[in-house]
Amino acid sequence: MPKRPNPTTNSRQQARDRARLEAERLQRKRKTTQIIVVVVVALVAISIVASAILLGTSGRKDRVPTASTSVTVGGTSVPFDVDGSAFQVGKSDAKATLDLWVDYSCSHCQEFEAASNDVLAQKVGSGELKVRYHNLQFVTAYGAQAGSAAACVATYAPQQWWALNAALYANHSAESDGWKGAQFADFAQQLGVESQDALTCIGDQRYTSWISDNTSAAADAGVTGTPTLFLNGQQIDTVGGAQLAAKIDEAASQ
Amino acid sequence: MSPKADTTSYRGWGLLLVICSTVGFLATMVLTIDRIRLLSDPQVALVCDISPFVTCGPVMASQAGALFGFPNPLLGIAGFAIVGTTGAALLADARLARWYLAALEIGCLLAAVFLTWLQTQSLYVIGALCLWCMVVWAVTIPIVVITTAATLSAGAFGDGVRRFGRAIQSWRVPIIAIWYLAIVTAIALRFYREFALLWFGVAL
Repeated sequence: MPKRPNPTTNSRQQARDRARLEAERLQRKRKTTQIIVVVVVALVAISIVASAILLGTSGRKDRVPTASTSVTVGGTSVPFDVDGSAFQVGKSDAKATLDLWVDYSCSHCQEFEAASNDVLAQKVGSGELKVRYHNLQFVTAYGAQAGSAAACVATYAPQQWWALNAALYANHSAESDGWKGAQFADFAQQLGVESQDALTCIGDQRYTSWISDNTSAAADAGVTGTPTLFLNGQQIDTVGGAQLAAKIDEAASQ
Repeated sequence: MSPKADTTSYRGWGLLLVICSTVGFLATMVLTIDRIRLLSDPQVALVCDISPFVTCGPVMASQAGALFGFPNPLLGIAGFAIVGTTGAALLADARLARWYLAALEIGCLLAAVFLTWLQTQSLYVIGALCLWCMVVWAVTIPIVVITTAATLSAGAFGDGVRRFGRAIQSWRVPIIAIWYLAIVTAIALRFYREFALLWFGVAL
C-alpha cells in the first residue's frame, strides 16, 4: 500500500477496500484458470480413450484365428479347426462332444487339464470324442495372453497346439501373470514351435481380442465360471480323469 | 498470511486427514479381514467380487499383494491410523514441530510411490481391479496432495521449497482432479472392453 501524507480514516478504508477487491479479483481469475486447465485435461483424456477405442475396434474383425487341418492326437490323425469361439479337435462323427469353457489363468482349469489331458487325448484318438475348447479370460491377464498365443499356434502351427495347450496351463503362476507377447513367444519356441508366423503373431498378442469376444460368448452361453463342461450340449459337473472318462463313455454309448 | 488464516487452513487440512484416513482405515481393515477369510475358506464369496475383472481375490492373492512378505493392507492400517491421529491433533489446534511435518511428508511421498506401483500392478500385471484397493487410492491421493502443500508451505523443508509449497497450495484442487483423471483414463484404456460388456452388453 503506497504511503500517503496524513491519511484520513476514509481514504485508508478506501485503500483497504481496493486491496480486498483486487485480491478477490485475482482469486476469481485463478479459479477460472484452474477450471479451464482441468476441463482441458479432461477433454484430452476423453479424446485419448475415444481414439484408443476406435483404433482398437477397427481391424479387429480380421483378428480371428483360423484353422482347418488335421493333427495327431492320441496317436491318430484327427480334424482340427477353429469354429466360432472354440478350438475343435476330434472326428466330426464322434458320438460325444465335450464343450469346455476354460481360462488359462484359472487354477481349477489347471487342475482339470492336468487330470484329464490323457483321458481326452485317448478318447479323441479313438474317435469317440470331439472336444471344443472355448478359451476365455475370467481371472488374470494371463488368460487372454496365453489364449492369444494358443490361437496363434492353432493358426500357424496347429501340430503343436495340443502340447502347447497343456503346457500353458502348467506354466501359469503368479510370476507368469506378468508375461507379455515376447515371453510367450520364447515359451512356444522352447516347446518346439518353429513357425516364424506363429512366433510373430504371439509377440503381437494378435488374438487377445478374440479371447475377449469369447468371454462375451460365454455370458451368452450362460457360463459364469471356469471350467464349465457341456457334454453333448448338457452342462455336467466339473469332473476330471477317470470320472470324466466314464461320463464320456456313457454319452458316446447312447 | 495472518495467524488466524493459518489456523483455519490447518483445521481444514486436519479435517481432510481425519475423514480420508477413516475411510482408508476401514478399507484396509476390510482388505485384511477378507484376506484372512479367503485363507480359511478359499471358496468364500467376497463382497468385492463384483465381476471377473472387478474382483479382489486375484489381486490379494498376487505377489504384488504382499510386497514386503506380508499383506500390504497391514501397512495401510498402521499408516492411516498415524495420519488420522495427526489430523485429529491438527483439529485440536496442535502445533507440530518441523521434524514431524517433514516425517509426515516423507511418509506421504512414499505412500504415493507405493500407490502408483500398486496401480500399475493391478492394471497391467494382474489385470483386475479391486474395489477396496480403489477406495484406498481415492483417499490417499488427496491426503498426499494436501499434506504436501501444507507441509512445504509451512517450511518443513526450508524456505527454498516454501514457494513451491504455496504454488501447490493454490493449485491443490486441480492437482487432485488431474491425478484422478489420469487414473480413470488408465483404467478406461485398460478395461473399456470389459466395462462395455458389463454395462452395455456390447463386445467391442
